[in-house]
Amino acid sequence: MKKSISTSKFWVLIFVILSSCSTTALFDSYSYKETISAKVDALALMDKAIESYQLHKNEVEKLRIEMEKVYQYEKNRTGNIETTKMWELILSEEKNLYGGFIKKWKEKDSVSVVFVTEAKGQVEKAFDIIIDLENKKIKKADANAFINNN
Amino acid sequence: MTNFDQIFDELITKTKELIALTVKNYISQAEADTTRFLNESKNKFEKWAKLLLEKRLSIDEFEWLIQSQKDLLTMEALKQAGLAKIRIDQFKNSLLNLVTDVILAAIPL
Repeated sequence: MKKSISTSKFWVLIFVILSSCSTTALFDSYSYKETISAKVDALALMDKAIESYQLHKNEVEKLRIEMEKVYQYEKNRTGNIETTKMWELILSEEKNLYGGFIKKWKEKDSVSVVFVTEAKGQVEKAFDIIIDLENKKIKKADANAFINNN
Repeated sequence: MTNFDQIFDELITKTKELIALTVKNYISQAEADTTRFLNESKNKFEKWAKLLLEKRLSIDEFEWLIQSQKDLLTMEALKQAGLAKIRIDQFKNSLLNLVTDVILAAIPL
Protein backbone atom coordinates (compact mmCIF):
# COMPACT_ATOMS: atom_id res chain seq x y z
CA MET A 1 0.00 0.00 0.00
CA LYS A 2 2.79 2.36 1.01
CA LYS A 3 4.62 1.57 -2.21
CA SER A 4 1.59 2.31 -4.37
CA ILE A 5 1.16 5.74 -2.73
CA SER A 6 4.78 6.73 -3.33
CA THR A 7 4.52 5.34 -6.85
CA SER A 8 1.52 7.54 -7.53
CA LYS A 9 3.34 10.58 -6.19
CA PHE A 10 6.32 9.80 -8.40
CA TRP A 11 4.16 9.63 -11.53
CA VAL A 12 2.33 12.82 -10.57
CA LEU A 13 5.71 14.52 -10.19
CA ILE A 14 6.90 13.20 -13.55
CA PHE A 15 3.67 14.35 -15.18
CA VAL A 16 3.94 17.84 -13.67
CA ILE A 17 7.56 18.22 -14.79
CA LEU A 18 6.94 17.00 -18.31
CA SER A 19 3.70 18.85 -18.89
CA SER A 20 5.09 22.23 -17.86
CA CYS A 21 6.09 24.53 -20.68
CA SER A 22 9.66 25.53 -21.51
CA THR A 23 10.87 28.24 -19.18
CA THR A 24 13.21 29.91 -21.67
CA ALA A 25 13.07 31.19 -25.22
CA LEU A 26 14.72 29.03 -27.87
CA PHE A 27 17.88 30.24 -29.65
CA ASP A 28 16.98 32.96 -32.16
CA SER A 29 19.41 33.50 -35.05
CA TYR A 30 17.91 36.95 -35.84
CA SER A 31 18.46 38.07 -32.25
CA TYR A 32 22.00 36.65 -32.28
CA LYS A 33 22.89 38.42 -35.53
CA GLU A 34 21.34 41.75 -34.53
CA THR A 35 23.10 41.75 -31.16
CA ILE A 36 26.49 41.19 -32.82
CA SER A 37 25.68 43.93 -35.32
CA ALA A 38 24.72 46.34 -32.51
CA LYS A 39 27.93 45.51 -30.67
CA VAL A 40 30.11 46.27 -33.71
CA ASP A 41 28.27 49.55 -34.40
CA ALA A 42 28.37 50.63 -30.73
CA LEU A 43 32.12 50.02 -30.38
CA ALA A 44 32.84 51.83 -33.66
CA LEU A 45 30.80 54.83 -32.53
CA MET A 46 32.51 54.91 -29.13
CA ASP A 47 35.85 55.36 -30.91
CA LYS A 48 34.55 58.70 -32.16
CA ALA A 49 33.98 60.03 -28.63
CA ILE A 50 37.45 61.61 -28.66
CA GLU A 51 35.83 64.12 -31.04
CA SER A 52 33.02 66.60 -30.35
CA TYR A 53 29.65 65.01 -29.61
CA GLN A 54 28.03 67.64 -31.82
CA LEU A 55 29.82 66.21 -34.87
CA HIS A 56 28.32 62.77 -34.27
CA LYS A 57 24.94 63.38 -32.64
CA ASN A 58 23.06 62.20 -35.75
CA GLU A 59 24.97 58.89 -35.74
CA VAL A 60 24.27 58.51 -32.02
CA GLU A 61 20.56 59.02 -32.59
CA LYS A 62 20.50 56.63 -35.55
CA LEU A 63 22.15 53.88 -33.52
CA ARG A 64 19.88 54.57 -30.54
CA ILE A 65 16.87 53.84 -32.75
CA GLU A 66 18.47 50.66 -34.12
CA MET A 67 19.22 49.42 -30.61
CA GLU A 68 15.72 50.32 -29.45
CA LYS A 69 14.37 48.05 -32.22
CA VAL A 70 16.50 45.14 -30.99
CA TYR A 71 15.44 45.82 -27.39
CA GLN A 72 11.75 45.84 -28.34
CA TYR A 73 12.22 42.58 -30.25
CA GLU A 74 13.87 40.96 -27.21
CA LYS A 75 11.21 42.31 -24.89
CA ASN A 76 8.46 40.66 -26.91
CA ARG A 77 10.04 37.18 -27.02
CA THR A 78 8.41 34.75 -24.60
CA GLY A 79 10.66 33.46 -21.80
CA ASN A 80 13.31 36.10 -22.43
CA ILE A 81 13.35 38.06 -19.15
CA GLU A 82 17.10 37.88 -18.52
CA THR A 83 18.12 39.07 -21.99
CA THR A 84 15.56 41.89 -21.84
CA LYS A 85 16.93 43.07 -18.49
CA MET A 86 20.47 42.92 -19.87
CA TRP A 87 19.48 45.18 -22.78
CA GLU A 88 17.91 47.61 -20.30
CA LEU A 89 21.22 47.77 -18.44
CA ILE A 90 23.19 48.36 -21.63
CA LEU A 91 20.89 51.11 -22.89
CA SER A 92 20.13 52.93 -19.63
CA GLU A 93 21.72 56.37 -19.28
CA GLU A 94 21.61 55.85 -15.51
CA LYS A 95 23.89 52.80 -15.72
CA ASN A 96 27.54 52.75 -16.77
CA LEU A 97 27.52 50.78 -19.97
CA TYR A 98 26.69 51.98 -23.53
CA GLY A 99 23.86 54.38 -22.57
CA GLY A 100 25.89 55.79 -19.69
CA PHE A 101 28.91 56.28 -21.94
CA ILE A 102 26.86 58.23 -24.49
CA LYS A 103 25.47 60.39 -21.68
CA LYS A 104 29.00 61.16 -20.49
CA TRP A 105 30.15 61.96 -24.04
CA LYS A 106 27.21 64.30 -24.47
CA GLU A 107 27.89 66.05 -21.16
CA LYS A 108 31.65 66.48 -21.72
CA ASP A 109 31.45 66.90 -25.52
CA SER A 110 34.56 64.70 -25.86
CA VAL A 111 36.47 62.20 -23.70
CA SER A 112 40.06 60.90 -23.51
CA VAL A 113 41.44 58.06 -25.61
CA VAL A 114 42.33 56.13 -22.45
CA PHE A 115 38.78 56.38 -21.13
CA VAL A 116 37.31 55.36 -24.50
CA THR A 117 39.58 52.29 -24.61
CA GLU A 118 38.66 51.17 -21.09
CA ALA A 119 34.92 51.92 -21.46
CA LYS A 120 34.86 50.04 -24.78
CA GLY A 121 36.20 46.95 -23.00
CA GLN A 122 33.29 47.15 -20.56
CA VAL A 123 30.62 47.65 -23.22
CA GLU A 124 32.10 44.87 -25.36
CA LYS A 125 31.97 42.51 -22.37
CA ALA A 126 28.31 43.46 -21.75
CA PHE A 127 27.35 42.57 -25.33
CA ASP A 128 29.39 39.35 -25.13
CA ILE A 129 27.38 38.26 -22.06
CA ILE A 130 24.12 38.68 -24.02
CA ILE A 131 25.57 36.88 -27.05
CA ASP A 132 26.90 34.03 -24.89
CA LEU A 133 23.51 33.49 -23.22
CA GLU A 134 21.73 33.52 -26.58
CA ASN A 135 24.21 31.02 -27.99
CA LYS A 136 23.55 28.63 -25.08
CA LYS A 137 19.77 28.63 -25.55
CA ILE A 138 18.30 25.40 -26.90
CA LYS A 139 18.48 25.34 -30.70
CA LYS A 140 15.29 24.76 -32.64
CA ALA A 141 16.89 21.81 -34.46
CA ASP A 142 17.61 20.16 -31.09
CA ALA A 143 14.06 20.80 -29.93
CA ASN A 144 12.65 19.33 -33.17
CA ALA A 145 14.90 16.27 -32.88
CA PHE A 146 13.63 15.79 -29.34
CA ILE A 147 9.99 16.00 -30.49
CA ASN A 148 10.61 13.60 -33.41
CA ASN A 149 12.31 11.09 -31.12
CA ASN A 150 9.30 10.95 -28.81
CA MET B 1 7.66 -7.74 -7.69
CA THR B 2 5.59 -6.81 -10.69
CA ASN B 3 7.06 -5.72 -13.97
CA PHE B 4 5.78 -2.20 -13.29
CA ASP B 5 7.64 -2.09 -9.96
CA GLN B 6 10.88 -2.97 -11.74
CA ILE B 7 10.30 -0.19 -14.29
CA PHE B 8 9.50 2.20 -11.47
CA ASP B 9 12.66 1.33 -9.52
CA GLU B 10 14.83 1.69 -12.60
CA LEU B 11 13.23 5.06 -13.37
CA ILE B 12 13.86 6.34 -9.88
CA THR B 13 17.51 5.27 -9.98
CA LYS B 14 18.13 6.79 -13.40
CA THR B 15 16.23 9.99 -12.56
CA LYS B 16 18.39 10.47 -9.47
CA GLU B 17 21.52 9.97 -11.60
CA LEU B 18 20.22 12.50 -14.14
CA ILE B 19 19.47 15.08 -11.42
CA ALA B 20 22.92 14.60 -9.86
CA LEU B 21 24.66 14.99 -13.22
CA THR B 22 22.59 18.06 -14.20
CA VAL B 23 23.22 19.82 -10.87
CA LYS B 24 26.92 18.90 -10.85
CA ASN B 25 27.48 20.22 -14.39
CA TYR B 26 25.58 23.44 -13.67
CA ILE B 27 27.42 24.16 -10.41
CA SER B 28 30.83 23.48 -11.99
CA GLN B 29 30.10 25.85 -14.87
CA ALA B 30 28.64 28.57 -12.62
CA GLU B 31 31.65 28.37 -10.28
CA ALA B 32 34.10 28.58 -13.18
CA ASP B 33 32.27 31.59 -14.68
CA THR B 34 32.13 33.41 -11.34
CA THR B 35 35.80 32.79 -10.55
CA ARG B 36 36.82 34.02 -14.00
CA PHE B 37 34.69 37.15 -13.60
CA LEU B 38 36.19 37.97 -10.18
CA ASN B 39 39.74 37.48 -11.49
CA GLU B 40 38.99 39.76 -14.43
CA SER B 41 37.56 42.36 -12.02
CA LYS B 42 40.70 42.32 -9.88
CA ASN B 43 42.93 42.83 -12.93
CA LYS B 44 40.78 45.71 -14.19
CA PHE B 45 40.71 47.47 -10.80
CA GLU B 46 44.52 47.27 -10.60
CA LYS B 47 44.88 48.62 -14.13
CA TRP B 48 42.44 51.51 -13.56
CA ALA B 49 44.09 52.42 -10.22
CA LYS B 50 47.42 52.60 -12.02
CA LEU B 51 45.96 54.81 -14.78
CA LEU B 52 44.44 57.04 -12.08
CA LEU B 53 47.79 57.40 -10.31
CA GLU B 54 49.43 58.28 -13.62
CA LYS B 55 46.65 60.87 -14.14
CA ARG B 56 45.65 59.24 -17.42
CA LEU B 57 42.16 58.74 -15.97
CA SER B 58 40.28 61.40 -14.00
CA ILE B 59 38.63 60.51 -10.69
CA ASP B 60 35.27 60.86 -12.42
CA GLU B 61 36.29 58.43 -15.19
CA PHE B 62 37.80 56.01 -12.65
CA GLU B 63 34.54 55.98 -10.67
CA TRP B 64 32.55 55.50 -13.88
CA LEU B 65 34.60 52.42 -14.76
CA ILE B 66 34.32 50.91 -11.27
CA GLN B 67 30.54 51.38 -11.47
CA SER B 68 30.48 49.80 -14.93
CA GLN B 69 32.08 46.67 -13.45
CA LYS B 70 29.26 46.53 -10.92
CA ASP B 71 26.78 46.71 -13.83
CA LEU B 72 28.66 43.89 -15.56
CA LEU B 73 28.36 41.83 -12.39
CA THR B 74 24.57 42.28 -12.59
CA MET B 75 24.73 41.20 -16.26
CA GLU B 76 26.72 38.11 -15.27
CA ALA B 77 24.16 37.25 -12.55
CA LEU B 78 21.35 37.58 -15.11
CA LYS B 79 23.25 35.28 -17.46
CA GLN B 80 23.62 32.67 -14.71
CA ALA B 81 19.88 32.93 -13.98
CA GLY B 82 19.15 32.42 -17.69
CA LEU B 83 21.53 29.45 -17.87
CA ALA B 84 19.84 27.84 -14.87
CA LYS B 85 16.49 28.01 -16.67
CA ILE B 86 18.04 26.55 -19.83
CA ARG B 87 19.41 23.66 -17.72
CA ILE B 88 15.91 23.03 -16.34
CA ASP B 89 14.52 22.83 -19.89
CA GLN B 90 17.33 20.49 -20.91
CA PHE B 91 16.65 18.38 -17.82
CA LYS B 92 12.95 18.11 -18.73
CA ASN B 93 13.86 16.96 -22.23
CA SER B 94 16.34 14.41 -20.87
CA LEU B 95 13.81 13.15 -18.33
CA LEU B 96 11.18 12.60 -20.99
CA ASN B 97 13.72 10.72 -23.10
CA LEU B 98 14.65 8.63 -20.07
CA VAL B 99 11.05 7.71 -19.25
CA THR B 100 10.38 6.78 -22.88
CA ASP B 101 13.54 4.68 -23.17
CA VAL B 102 13.03 2.79 -19.91
CA ILE B 103 9.39 1.98 -20.63
CA LEU B 104 10.04 0.95 -24.24
CA ALA B 105 12.95 -1.24 -23.15
CA ALA B 106 10.74 -2.98 -20.59
CA ILE B 107 7.85 -3.65 -22.95
CA PRO B 108 8.45 -6.40 -25.54
CA LEU B 109 7.06 -4.99 -28.80
